[in-house]
Amino acid sequence: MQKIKMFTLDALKSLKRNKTITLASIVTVSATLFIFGVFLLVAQTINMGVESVESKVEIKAYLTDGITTTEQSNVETIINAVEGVKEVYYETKEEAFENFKERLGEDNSILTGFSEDRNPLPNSFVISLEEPEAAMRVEDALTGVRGVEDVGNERETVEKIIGLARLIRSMGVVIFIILVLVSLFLISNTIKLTVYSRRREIGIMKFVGATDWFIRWPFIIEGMIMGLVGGIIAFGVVYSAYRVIYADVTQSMFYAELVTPQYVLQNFSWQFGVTGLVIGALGSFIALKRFLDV
Amino acid sequence: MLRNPCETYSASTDKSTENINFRSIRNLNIGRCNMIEFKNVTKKYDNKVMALDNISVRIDSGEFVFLVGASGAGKSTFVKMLLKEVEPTSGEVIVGNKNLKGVTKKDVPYYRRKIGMVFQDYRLIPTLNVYENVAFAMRVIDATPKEIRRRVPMVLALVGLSDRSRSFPSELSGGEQQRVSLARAIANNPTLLIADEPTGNLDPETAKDIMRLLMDINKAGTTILMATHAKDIVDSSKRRVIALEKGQIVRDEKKGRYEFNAEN
Repeated sequence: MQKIKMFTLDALKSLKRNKTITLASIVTVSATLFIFGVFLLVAQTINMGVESVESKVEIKAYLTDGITTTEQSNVETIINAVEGVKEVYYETKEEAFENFKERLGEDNSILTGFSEDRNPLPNSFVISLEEPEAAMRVEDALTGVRGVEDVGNERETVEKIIGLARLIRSMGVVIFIILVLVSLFLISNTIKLTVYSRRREIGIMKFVGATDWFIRWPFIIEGMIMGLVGGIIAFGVVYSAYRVIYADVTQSMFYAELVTPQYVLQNFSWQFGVTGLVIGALGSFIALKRFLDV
Repeated sequence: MLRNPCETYSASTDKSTENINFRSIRNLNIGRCNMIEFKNVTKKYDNKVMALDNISVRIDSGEFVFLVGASGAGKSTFVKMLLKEVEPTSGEVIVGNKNLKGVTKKDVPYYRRKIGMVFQDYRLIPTLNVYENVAFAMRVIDATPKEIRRRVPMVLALVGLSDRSRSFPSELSGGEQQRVSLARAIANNPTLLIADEPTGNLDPETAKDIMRLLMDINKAGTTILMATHAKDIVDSSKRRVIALEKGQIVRDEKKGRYEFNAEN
């Protein structure tokens, strides 16, 4: 405890002594974390979009015309048993016809000649899914079941959605890693300046018999303080900027699905703080490596 | 109380902070034992330079030894080996009763705490005042604040700088700075003091002051190894001289001179 206090005091003293470098480090951290935050927001928004598309994936199981009630309830049971099925809804051919007409809108003249009693559409189960992957499972479960004529095959679309979602997520991870590495590099280089200006002191510590960790701690605490301050600044900028953007966008496009500022406040605040701390500590550690090998 | 010159090195901090009042023990006889021993030590650097060539030498505890030789003769390597900054290519270095081969990287800092170092360029921290510079060396090795408050004024008094304890290094003369570095070196009560050209930047008068201090410290029982080019000092001190040339010991005399004879 005594030591932590001493190291922290040392760190604060040195932060004050090397004002320019301290400022440069903080700016570096907040700039990288700012980019990081913008990226995170974009990724989050895209992710939300993908999720909402995913949650809207529906498939249809078309039923044969002469289906019996037992067969129909059997089909329903089978569908309900498939993992990832959210809801099953029975759509009569009349409803399907109405829906179809509605969807065509002004072009519904092509339906002339068809009517309620000359309806080419079959009865069906409309199955909404929790995840697109469940579509394949439903299809598999229903093959060969009596009363099912066909399962609306949207495999290609579903596969595209899944692929896109995966791509966006793995790209997110890659960009995240790159950003972390870049900020680590920048910060360790900035801290190297502090370390360099104090290399004599480090040398003296080494020959009077200081352990590596004794030398390291003040620098690491220094890095952590700079990282934390940088993180707080970056968060402040990202958060206040986003609040303005959010208000603007939701006003002009009320249907837009965006991450709420509330969410940003709750999640980003500690994420920025922790990332700043870790980057600062790690940056110091890396910066010291060369100078401690004496 | 005088420390036992053959005391073993321990990894723990030495809590004994006995008062070295060396005037009073000037004429005490101290039991002798090995302080430093080099056994067939050879050091060949990667660039094929032979810095030390099969050196064997023994220095007893309590001795005052000059290490002389031209630049590149191997003095630095000799000193660095004692600090375990450099490993011998072959042979063994024993300090105290410790074979340095057995000192792991992790133990090196603890090992160094038993060795005081003084350099030609003093190596003080410019942003700390005299008191803080000495206290710094003690803090580094986990001395308690109480110990530091007790010990620092004492060693500053020993080197005659009690009244300058609030001054910064830049406000001191070279001789005074070197005395601060001496105070720092003895603050942790080392059994061995290595001085690397301690008078190199000083005028002859000031150099003499520093030499007197070193002699006093030596009389208190601390073994001193001093690498130097200062011919006058070596000649007038009449102490053991080990002369290195091209990595070999060319001379080892009890009351030696800087050069063997007036030199070609």
